[in-house]
Amino acid sequence: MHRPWFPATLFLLVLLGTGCARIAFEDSAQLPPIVPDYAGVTVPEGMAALSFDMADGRPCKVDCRREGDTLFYTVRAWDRKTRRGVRYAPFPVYVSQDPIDPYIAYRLIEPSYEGWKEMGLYARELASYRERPIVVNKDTKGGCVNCHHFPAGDPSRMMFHARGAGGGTVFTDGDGVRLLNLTTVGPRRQGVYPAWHPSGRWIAFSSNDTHQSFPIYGHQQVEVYDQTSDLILMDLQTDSISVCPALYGDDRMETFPAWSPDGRTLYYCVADSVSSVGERRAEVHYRLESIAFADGQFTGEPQPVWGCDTLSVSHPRVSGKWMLFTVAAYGTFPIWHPEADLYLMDLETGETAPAEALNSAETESYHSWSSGGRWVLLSSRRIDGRYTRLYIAHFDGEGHFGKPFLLPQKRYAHNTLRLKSYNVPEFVKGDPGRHGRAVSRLFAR
Amino acid sequence: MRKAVIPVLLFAAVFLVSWICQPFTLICQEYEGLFLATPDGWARAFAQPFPLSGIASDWLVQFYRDPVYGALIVAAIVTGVFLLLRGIVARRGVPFADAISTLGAGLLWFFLARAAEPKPGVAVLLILEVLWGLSLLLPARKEKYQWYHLPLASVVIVAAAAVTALSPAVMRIERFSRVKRDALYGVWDDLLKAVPPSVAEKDGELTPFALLALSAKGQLGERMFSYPVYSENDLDMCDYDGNTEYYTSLLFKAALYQHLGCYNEAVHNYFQWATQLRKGTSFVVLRKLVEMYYLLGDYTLMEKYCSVLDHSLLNRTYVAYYRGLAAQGQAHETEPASIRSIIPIISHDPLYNLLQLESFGIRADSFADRVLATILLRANPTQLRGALEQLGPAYERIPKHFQEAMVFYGIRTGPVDDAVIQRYSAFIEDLQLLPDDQLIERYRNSAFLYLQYAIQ
Repeated sequence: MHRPWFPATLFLLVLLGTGCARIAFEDSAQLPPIVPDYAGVTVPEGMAALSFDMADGRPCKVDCRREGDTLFYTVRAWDRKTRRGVRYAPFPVYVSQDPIDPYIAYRLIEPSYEGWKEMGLYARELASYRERPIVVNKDTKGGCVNCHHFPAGDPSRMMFHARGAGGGTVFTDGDGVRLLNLTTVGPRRQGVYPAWHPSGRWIAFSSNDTHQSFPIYGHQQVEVYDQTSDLILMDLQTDSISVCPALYGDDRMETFPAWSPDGRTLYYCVADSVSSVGERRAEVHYRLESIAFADGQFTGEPQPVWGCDTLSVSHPRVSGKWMLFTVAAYGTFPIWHPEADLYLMDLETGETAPAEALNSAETESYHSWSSGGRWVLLSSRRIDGRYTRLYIAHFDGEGHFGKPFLLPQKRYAHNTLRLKSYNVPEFVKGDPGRHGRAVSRLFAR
Repeated sequence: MRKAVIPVLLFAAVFLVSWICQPFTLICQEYEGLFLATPDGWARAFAQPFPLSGIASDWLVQFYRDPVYGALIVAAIVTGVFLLLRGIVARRGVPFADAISTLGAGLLWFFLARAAEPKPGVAVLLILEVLWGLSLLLPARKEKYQWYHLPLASVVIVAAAAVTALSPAVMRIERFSRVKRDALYGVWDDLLKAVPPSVAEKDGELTPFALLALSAKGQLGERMFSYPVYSENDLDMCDYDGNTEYYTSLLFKAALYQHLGCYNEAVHNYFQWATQLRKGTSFVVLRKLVEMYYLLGDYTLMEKYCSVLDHSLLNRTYVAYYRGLAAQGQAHETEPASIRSIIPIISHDPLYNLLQLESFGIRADSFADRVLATILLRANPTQLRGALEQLGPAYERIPKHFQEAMVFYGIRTGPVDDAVIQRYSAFIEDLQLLPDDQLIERYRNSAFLYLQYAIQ
């Protein structure tokens, strides 16, 4: 009897047998060389599973067991050719019960120069790998969408700027979406970096005249700077914009507003104006100041908070008595500065120090506190020096951060293969939803 | 057998015309195409209109890097469309089914020859497949074969081939694609063959590419005025902005700064050029980023783009080559902030950029030629004198056009050929005697005419 399936089955069995040849594993006392380095990190309960690869590309298998609030990962890796393997010492991952906001929002954009093709604001659920667009620039006729912001992480309200023809600032409130061109009201200044007052009524904006320049040589390929900047205040009840003389003028550049949690103080960065900033960029050092706020008005004089002549501050963000900010050697756009690091300040004592646990040899820049103040979301270029990726770190409330961990993806390789940077990461207390259709209707008018 | 003649003829015609008349068009479709088997690549693929034909087209375009395969694919698409069309038309018993189907396929061929990607062809092919499937549900009607069907279809094929091969639009796309390939990969001799002065007369945006090729070959000072040079823009595209010129100027500047050794600015322009492409980046941009970051000594970033290209079908040899180079090379250290803060920045003034590059030790072989040519085109005698004093002694013989400028402005910083002096004397005489058109005709290949009009 002719059995055509017989040789094929035999071949398959031989193949399977070869593929399943036993691998001899040697035990090693060393931790596995994995990317990203998740050994010893603290993750929130319910976080999407951490996925990683061997740094040298070897295949590996991972066993995970939980003991109390600690996960132990045991990694077995082997060489494909020699079929010899190593069973590494298990590494711990600590699970914290401190609550974390369930979503984060960010912009995805090429780490580009003046132009772009595709960009968008996206929301990512932390319990899974699911990423969804909130709005993409296809909805705004290809214009830039930037500076998304939520009042205290409230997903039902959001604002972002949509630049280009017919653009302005888009405000969402539940399902309602409206567009307001800030340059048509008050002092007729464009809003840039926002800070939503904790009461939800006001938004402090910086209004920046931003430029880019391109060094002819060296690792840093882009420098972004402001020629002027001021702070303006928008009242969302009346859609009016006012200015405070102390925060508005030609001799100083104020930027990056941030409210204290009680809404009584506005922190911001300020530098003395310099002509030909592009060439004299090394002379521009921003420092931290604050000004009191009550009943919809700034009161009193600006107060110095922190600064020095050789460093430049940006992105102050306050949670409780702690302020986290970015420090670079000079300038106002630290994402292009490899030396940029995060500093932590105790606002009660004024004690300030680099947040060593968060920093790396490459850029650390934009960051956001979780609403409970126990987690920090930060952007860093530590993987390749160019593409910004997101890291999350635990904060113990006593001035100490845990080791930051890379935002987990289904496959680690996604971090390498994605040709876009994560920009302006923010914690959000829920799903911000999709606003693309409503926004595109605004732009169709 | 009889039925196979027309498709074979059509396939052969499309293949030969595409291969012989459009090789660079096909190559550049691969340059500007992108197919990456990555999560974002798939997401982008499914987000595009007509995703199925888009994905098939993006996958096929990878093979266009070799124009033989590209031409085979185009021929297969067009022939496939013919067969399906004939299947549908013949089944309904429509007279002249062969001729009608050949005409339909010929029109698609002509359209594809001018398209930026094979997607429209693939879309038509997929739609026709569905229609053909549906047509099988209908009762078949027989059409009687007539002896003249084959000659008629052959005439249509020959006509379609002639129209496609001789179309000025198709020829222009092919020429620009050739220039693009040559500029990106520094094939300067071929670029000068593709853009002789007569072509640049008709298509001014190719002049800067020709002048770039001349400067790379050290012939800028001898031959630049053989091309239609009306301003500094023709040398460096410094003022281009908006629409198609913007696309061209970004491509040009990427090639220019790569040639000058200013890889930061080349990366800048490759990134900017990518934003003008359909998918926001492309195979050639990714390959160029690998090359630029290798040259910049940033092997980490080079490896990133290598990993991305690894997820395409036909770039693995390229990636392996650069990984091999990097394994033997020495990565550059990141400069401290104190150094970075004083590195000059690129300006909109190409002359300033050239001088800043030189001050940082980045000096291309064409440095002196480009500096002198830029100043000549600015018609600035004081600057020209200074530049000649500094750069002139390095020349064995100062190039002809710079000598002409010296004579014109009375600059005595170096020896001038007798022929140049005599020609200038003749020019002064003719200036009084000849009408403009004759003067232009006689002195177009000299700096005299340009400088004379510049002072007017």
